[in-house]
Amino acid sequence: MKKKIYFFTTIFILIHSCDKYEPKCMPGCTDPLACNFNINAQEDDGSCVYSDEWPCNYQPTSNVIVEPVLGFPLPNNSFENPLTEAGINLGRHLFYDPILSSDNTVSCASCHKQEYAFGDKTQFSPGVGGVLSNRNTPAMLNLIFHEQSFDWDGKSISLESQASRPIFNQHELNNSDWCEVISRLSNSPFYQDLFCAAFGVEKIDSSHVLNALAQFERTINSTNSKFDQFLRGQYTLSMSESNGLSIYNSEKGDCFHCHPLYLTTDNQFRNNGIDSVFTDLGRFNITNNINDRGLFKTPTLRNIEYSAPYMHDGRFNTIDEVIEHYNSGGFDSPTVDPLMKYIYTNPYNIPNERGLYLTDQEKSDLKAFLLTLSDESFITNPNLSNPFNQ
Amino acid sequence: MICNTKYSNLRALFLIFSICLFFSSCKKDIYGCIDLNADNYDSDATINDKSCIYTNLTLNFDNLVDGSAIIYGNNNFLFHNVNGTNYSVSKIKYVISDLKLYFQNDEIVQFDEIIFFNSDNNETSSYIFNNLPGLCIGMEFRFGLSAENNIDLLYINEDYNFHDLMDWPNSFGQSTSSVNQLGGYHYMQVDGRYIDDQGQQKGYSLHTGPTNGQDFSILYPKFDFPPSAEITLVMNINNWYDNPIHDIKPSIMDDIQTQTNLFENANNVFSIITQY
Repeated sequence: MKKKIYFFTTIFILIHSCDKYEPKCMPGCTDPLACNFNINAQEDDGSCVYSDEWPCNYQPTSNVIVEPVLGFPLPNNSFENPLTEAGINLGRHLFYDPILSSDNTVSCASCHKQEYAFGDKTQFSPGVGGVLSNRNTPAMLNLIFHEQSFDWDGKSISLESQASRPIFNQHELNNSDWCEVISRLSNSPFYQDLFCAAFGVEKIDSSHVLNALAQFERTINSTNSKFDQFLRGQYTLSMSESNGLSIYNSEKGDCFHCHPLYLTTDNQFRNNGIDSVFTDLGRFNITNNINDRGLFKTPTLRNIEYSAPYMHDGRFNTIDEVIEHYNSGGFDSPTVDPLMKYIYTNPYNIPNERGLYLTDQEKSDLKAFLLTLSDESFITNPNLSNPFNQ
Repeated sequence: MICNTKYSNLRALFLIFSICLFFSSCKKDIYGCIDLNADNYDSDATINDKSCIYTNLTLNFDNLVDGSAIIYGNNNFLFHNVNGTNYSVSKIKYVISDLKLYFQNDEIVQFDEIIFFNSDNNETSSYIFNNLPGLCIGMEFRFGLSAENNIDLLYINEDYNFHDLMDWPNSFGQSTSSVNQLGGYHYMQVDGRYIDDQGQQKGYSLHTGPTNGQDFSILYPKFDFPPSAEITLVMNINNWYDNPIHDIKPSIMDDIQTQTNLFENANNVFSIITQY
């Protein structure tokens, strides 16, 4: 009997001596409802911190459905995070409130301004402490119609996950962890009421903040431009606008391959030939694929009139400069999109000339068409404005 | 404790080790299906007894230039067509539809799906048909979309962004009493560069679709092949140019002559390979 015990003990020791080569369990807070939830933690160490609690007498509010729009992909009326009146209202307040920044000075709306189609008029925008962003603030609109990737490099794959990026970016809202954000919100009786109304909760976790922001962002939609009215038979394009549409939608201007109507973005990442040497590797930073060096997400052209400056680094101040870039043929690089066909030549085989070779009239017609994508009712929509000014 | 182990324990260990060795060395031949792709793949089987059952077909896409694999890139001027024009291939996208699969038991299965290949997206490099009646012995398909399936805004939420990437504006079409085909969607986009008459690099867009009111999609006659659970549809780019002979141009989307040339070239562009 004793021998047997020895024998099994030996086997046991032999097997378990391998344990030391396995990685140690990472301690941390494993509860997703805690503000210091650590997704990498494997073993709960009792460190979880939760928001304060308050009484909540929940009265559910109506669901809001974003209706399909002619020519657009179907809107993503998310089942996981259904839009409600109170959820949108909370998201709108959070969007406009500097309470989301580490020093209560900067809000989402500090850079995403309604009058500039939820973009910014400066090349780079200041975050907390005046630290400038690395890239131009993109116009944000119609996101519910193409929920695949967000940010210039597509780092975020949902609106909910996107919202957390600027909250912790040092160039933007500059928080260091969720606990500080949630502590500011849960100490505010005003937000206690709004979170209760939106989600029926007596304490906040990060998903409530992100879901509310995403709900408001899904209502930032522009579908009533002159061009939309033209599609509905309510507006007649002028001769110049109509000629511009023909240039846009043919290989003369060749805008439509990357900016297909009616969304005006193909949701892809492309190198449009603005540089021969990259200072920002864009999509490559996310994928590490060398074919993605210098690629950025195709931006929407809707409300382009309001969303200057243009490109990921805001290098062009006017629509004319943008048209001139494409007209000039652009710069060669290993990843430049093959649709930039005339980097060395031109369509008419004129020696020593390069680019699309559009006439001044054609450029002006193209611009006239692009301006039909402006939607004044969007940049003045009272439902999207700063709720603290009302 | 290991150091205290008695001699008899070592003997026991040796005995167990010997027994293990004995069993593994005398593993008998086990008959069964040894193909990983089969539904009844048997991981213990060592000899194939032809019992494999297949209910899936994997359709792979491959694109070649006269047998050479394509190394995608603007500046890879690796290819030349029948005219001697040097060119590169940067991206390939195309769509097939009206698919019919033929089976050993004489069954034919039709599919409504449109199948989109995009060289930029690895997920599109193969398509799997599920719940089939057995091994496939033939395939019929249309290159592009028929006029009735090629209407502006017919597709708005397709996989892999087909609807955005393949948009073919209505302005390239025509609607009169005799013809009625507006725009809709490209059948194909091959993009790259070529060396023009003056020795300069120029981009080209080998883009096909309905033009001037004409439907240029191509319904291929049935391809036959040995019973298969995996096939590869191969496109030879050079065959778009050789019969009748025409050459690469930068822009052809409103060029009825070039679209006609491509349509007439279509019959030997595609082949199906079962052993790859």
